[in-house]
Amino acid sequence: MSSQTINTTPASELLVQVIDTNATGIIVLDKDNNLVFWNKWFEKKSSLEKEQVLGKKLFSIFPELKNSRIHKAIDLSISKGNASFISHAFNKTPFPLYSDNEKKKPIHQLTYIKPIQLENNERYCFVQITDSSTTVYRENQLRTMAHEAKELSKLKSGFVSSVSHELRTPLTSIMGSISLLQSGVEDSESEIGKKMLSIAFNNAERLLLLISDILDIEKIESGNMEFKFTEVDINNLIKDCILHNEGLAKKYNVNFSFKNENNLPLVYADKDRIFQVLNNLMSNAAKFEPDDSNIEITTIVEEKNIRVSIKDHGRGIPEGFKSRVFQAFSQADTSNTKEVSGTGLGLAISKTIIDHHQGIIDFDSLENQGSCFYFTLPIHKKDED
Amino acid sequence: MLKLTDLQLDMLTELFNLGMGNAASALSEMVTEEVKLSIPKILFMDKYELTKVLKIDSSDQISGVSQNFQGMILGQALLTFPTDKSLELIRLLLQDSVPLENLTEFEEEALTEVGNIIINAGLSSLADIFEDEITSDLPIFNTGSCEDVIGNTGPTSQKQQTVLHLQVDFSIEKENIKGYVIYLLDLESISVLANHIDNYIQKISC
Repeated sequence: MSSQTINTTPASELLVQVIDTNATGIIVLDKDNNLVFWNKWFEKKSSLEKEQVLGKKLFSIFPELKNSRIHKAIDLSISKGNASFISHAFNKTPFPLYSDNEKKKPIHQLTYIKPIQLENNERYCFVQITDSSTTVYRENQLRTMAHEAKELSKLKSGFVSSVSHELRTPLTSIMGSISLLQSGVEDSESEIGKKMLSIAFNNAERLLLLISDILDIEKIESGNMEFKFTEVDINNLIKDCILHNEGLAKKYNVNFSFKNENNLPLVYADKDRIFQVLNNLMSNAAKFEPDDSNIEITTIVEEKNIRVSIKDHGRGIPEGFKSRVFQAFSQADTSNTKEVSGTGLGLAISKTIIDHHQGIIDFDSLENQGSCFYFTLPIHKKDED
Repeated sequence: MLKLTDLQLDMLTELFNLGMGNAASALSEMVTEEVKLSIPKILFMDKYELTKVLKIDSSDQISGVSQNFQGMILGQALLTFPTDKSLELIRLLLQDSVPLENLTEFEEEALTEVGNIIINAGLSSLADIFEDEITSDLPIFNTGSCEDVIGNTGPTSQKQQTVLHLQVDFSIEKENIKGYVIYLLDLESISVLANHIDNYIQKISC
């Protein structure tokens, strides 16, 4: 059998055409590894016309296949009549074949090698190749998704364990105070009794705050938090927030100073959520600001955004903690500072809110000199000009 | 049921172990990790008994690679593993960094290639020793219950009920995984096999 003899009758010509229209690569070798058939698919993917290869040895055309698994399987097929399957997993691109588009990428292959025996006992080797590049791409995608899902699940488990820990701490204080009163060791009217009630109340308040923050985080992450976008004058919002934090400023003996550009363009934002971010950043700053000093709040236009900065003069953020500032339940060691309370969720929530506004939230901080937290909000398109 | 004698079975075990040596070196080359394969014993049984044996080692699901063969003997060969063991084996061979819950398409293909190498090696060693020929077809991957997979391996005619059952022990990276190679043979093939073994024993004892 040779390439010429295959084409001699209408039936065999038809057969050649059928094989040529096949979407897989088909070649046939004689017992001496000479090529006797080379279909159109092979011509396209190897850029070698059948006239260039027929009658030649496969391993002189593709010397890289010498002593490969393909070579051994072809030998096994011709000498012993065994069929072989060569998977992509162990042999990614055995034949030097490339996609016939502009990219000319190597094709991922599945190879089937099978003996063919004619009635006169002449044995040939049939090699069929399937392009599995799409399956490779899909499977790699699947692996990436599985990896991401695993990471998310790890994060979620970490979150649940942190939440449980954070809820337990105030509850223990509440239980302790109440049990002292309940057992009658302390009278609720006595000095110590009143202190116990106050501890219970403060911790219940902290618990409430924590639960509402956790619900916020959950709502944002699950995409269930509704954002009501309207045109917002950020300067007015900051002024409102300063008023709202007056009590806190008094408590921590600090001041808020506000420098702003006049006639700032409006931003398109959810007023209540941005107020929540401002409130979080201002109250954080107040907690860390040294007594009798100013927390500086500024607003400026920066290209197509408005940038709001809140600068304190506290201890700054330790170098090793900077990468975790916006993670839920992260709080740096607060020893030697004012009595600091917080859920450790505020900055995580603020980041999610600003992300939702297509803004950026970040900070600059130097240890023992202070921190400047800032966020940007895109200017409302109508006001851009 | 025609049975092989203990001596014939011992000889067959030796012959298959020669084939496993070849398969192990082919696999070791592919995964650049030392793979050891051995066949500690061969048993004769019928399909019903085989299902019971397979069920002892595998909870429900088994995966298998099957290949038809013909020539000196005629039948179907099947390499099977409990599905969880096939996952373990293929991930050891592929050194998969992100294992998924089920065998993926690639892992099925990889297992098919491993099965193909082992089955061909076994058949080749028999053909070589008996100086005859056994040709084989392309491998097929099957997964399902023991009955499904065993049922898939050939027609349920009385002739093909006899099973040559080989336990294959894989050893890779200090892990040991047990699989089985099953040869479904017709009565005529068993008789041919018995004759070849006897002739071979006679030849080597001269």
